[in-house]
Amino acid sequence: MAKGKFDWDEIHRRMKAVGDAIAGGYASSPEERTRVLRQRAAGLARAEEKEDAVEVLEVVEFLLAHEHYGIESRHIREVYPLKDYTPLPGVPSFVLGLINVRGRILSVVDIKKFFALPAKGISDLNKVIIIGNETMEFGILADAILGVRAIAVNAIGPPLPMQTGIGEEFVQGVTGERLVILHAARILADKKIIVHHDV
Amino acid sequence: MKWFVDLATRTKLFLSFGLMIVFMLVVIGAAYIGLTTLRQSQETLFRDDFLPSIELLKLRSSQNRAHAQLLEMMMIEDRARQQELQQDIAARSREVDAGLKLVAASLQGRTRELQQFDELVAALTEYRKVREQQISLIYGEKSIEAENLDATVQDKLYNRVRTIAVDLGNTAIDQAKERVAAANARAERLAQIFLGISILAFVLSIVVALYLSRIIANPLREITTAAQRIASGDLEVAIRNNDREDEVGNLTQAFATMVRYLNEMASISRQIAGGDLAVTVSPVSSRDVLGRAFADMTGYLREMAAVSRQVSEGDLTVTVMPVSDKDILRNAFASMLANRRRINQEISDGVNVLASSASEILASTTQIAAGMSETATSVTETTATVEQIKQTALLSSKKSRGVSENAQRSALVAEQGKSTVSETINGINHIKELMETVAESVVMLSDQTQAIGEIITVVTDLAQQSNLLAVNAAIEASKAGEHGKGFAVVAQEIKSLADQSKQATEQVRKILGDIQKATGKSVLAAEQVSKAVEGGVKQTAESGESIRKLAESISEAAQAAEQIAVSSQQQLAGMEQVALAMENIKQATHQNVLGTKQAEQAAHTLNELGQKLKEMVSRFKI
Repeated sequence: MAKGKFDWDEIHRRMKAVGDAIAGGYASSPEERTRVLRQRAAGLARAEEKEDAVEVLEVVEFLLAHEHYGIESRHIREVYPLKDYTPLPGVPSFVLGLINVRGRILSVVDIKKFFALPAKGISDLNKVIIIGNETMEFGILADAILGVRAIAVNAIGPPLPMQTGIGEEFVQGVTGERLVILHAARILADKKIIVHHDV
Repeated sequence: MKWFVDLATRTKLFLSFGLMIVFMLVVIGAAYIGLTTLRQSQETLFRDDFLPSIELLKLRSSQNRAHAQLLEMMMIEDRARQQELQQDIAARSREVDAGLKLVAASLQGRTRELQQFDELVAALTEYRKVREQQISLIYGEKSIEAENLDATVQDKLYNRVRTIAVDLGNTAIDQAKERVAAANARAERLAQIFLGISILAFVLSIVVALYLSRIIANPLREITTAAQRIASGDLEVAIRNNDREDEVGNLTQAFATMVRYLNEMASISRQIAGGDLAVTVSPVSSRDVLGRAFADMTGYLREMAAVSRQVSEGDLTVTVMPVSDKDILRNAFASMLANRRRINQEISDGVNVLASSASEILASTTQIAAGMSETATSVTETTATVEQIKQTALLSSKKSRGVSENAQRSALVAEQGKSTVSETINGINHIKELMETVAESVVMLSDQTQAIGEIITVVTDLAQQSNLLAVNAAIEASKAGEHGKGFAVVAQEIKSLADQSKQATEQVRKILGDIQKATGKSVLAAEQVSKAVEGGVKQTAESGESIRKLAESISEAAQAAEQIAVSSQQQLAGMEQVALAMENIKQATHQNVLGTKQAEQAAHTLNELGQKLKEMVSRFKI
């Protein structure tokens, strides 16, 4: 407005275009639709090639304190958004509290605190990955669930001791992309995770 | 007439008054003779003329009355009355007879009148005879006859008597008139003679009086006038010398001698007054007081002159001895000599001082002359400066006139500016309203953006849940092993959709954030614009006020400039006067320079004079 010349005609034209777009319900043009579909097709096509070649490990990849972690999907029952939890008094600090998942009461563990990892930045911690075996079932807090990936076994290297700060026994391997694959069976089997306190 | 003049004054007066008395006697005699003649002629007139004529008138009257009574006797019958009338008629006849006698006496010597008188007497006698007949007829009762007789005879006789009597009377009256005329002529002649003699006597008296006055009073008056002039100190009187031998002549000669003596003394006095002391005065007699006094005076003055000469030659040693306290001149000389000696001493001292002072004056005057020259230079410079100031004043007058005109134009512009400011305020207020509308719209947009954000949050939530569902589906598919492979693909696809939805919502959120930022900026801008507009209004109002004040200031400036122009004009006039005054001062200074040079010259002269005076004073012997 401070500028002497203001192209009111251009403004009117643009406003009209926006109005038309809203009125048309954002109907994308046929070319746009075709392009999106092609892109998707291309993505799917690449995934198919890799799988057939080598033995793969299916992992669920998630973010925790800006680090990428993965857990074998065979240990995971489901993922669940952390909506309401009940803090539980008299438990170690790594136990956040209790949640109700379709009638089942589960404890939620913050593995950063469990592994005594340093807090790095602010995290959302609004997802819960529910892992379990025949004896144990509990939720692990995650910042975000990135999805299920199939990772070739030969692409997984041995864990570097001082790399993650997590105990060597709990790390199954690390990929070249710095994805730390946690050993869910050992975590489930770890005695420390069982809280037994007399209050 | 010399003999008369030489007569003694008493004799002259006696002779003159005697002559006048003689004239008076002559006049008296002539008057007496004239009066006597007049009286005689009047007596003759009365006796000879007026008496007979009166008597004749009486005669006629008596005759008429008698005739009338006779006629009455005829008319009446009464005897007694008739007799009474007859006696009356007889009485009238006697009166007539007495008158006739007087007339006869007055008519003596005049033959023609006497003849008429005789006829009268004869006619009268006839008449009386007839009357007697008539009376006897009347007594005889014969009145008719008497009347007849009257008508025939008596009437004629009566008329004859009357005619003659009238004639005689007229003659007498004529004669009387002649006599009166003659008497008047004589009286006239006498009066003329008397008047002539009187005039002659009067003229002679005046002549004698004037002559006496001339020969006695005039010389006396002249001498009196001369005496008065001499008394007032005028000796230039001329006394006419005559060889008369009477008292007047003696007086004149004595007066002339006195005037000569006085003139002589006066000329001696004049010589002495003129400083001529060589004059000799010899007294006329031993009692010539004035002559001796003059001789003493000349001697005294000569002595004083000798003293003065000695003093004038510078000899102040001379002594003067006054004879008394009243000897003013000697006293004065003595004190003068003493004073001179003293003054000379003082002059000597004074001259010394004068000489040194003159030298100092000379030096001072030289300095003053130099100073005057400098003053003249300064005055010239000042005059030039004043001329420059005058030019400056002229320039400032023009400039201030121009400033005044500019200020008036500026006042007009300021007036226009005021109205423009008012319009501007209106415009800005309109802008403010529009901006507020814009801000409201933007806020509405912001609110709606928030609504969109809420919707987007819901969509994000949905996308996340979809994502989790997809992950769970994938997990379930992997658990299913080989049979779950197809499901895993579907799950992968769902996850992809969820990711895309999430990305889309992220984009929308980002766009909404941009919109929110833009909206915030717009609101802020609108607020700033509103505030700016308010400030603009305030500033514009202030500008209006400033322009109004500016207009006032300009108006005042215009007035001030006008006043300055007027003042400059006056200043110019004043500077012209100053220039004129400076010109005068310049001239005066020039004259002062000249004057100072003259003063310098004079001081030189004064110095020389002082030296001279010193020499001169040293020459006096004290």
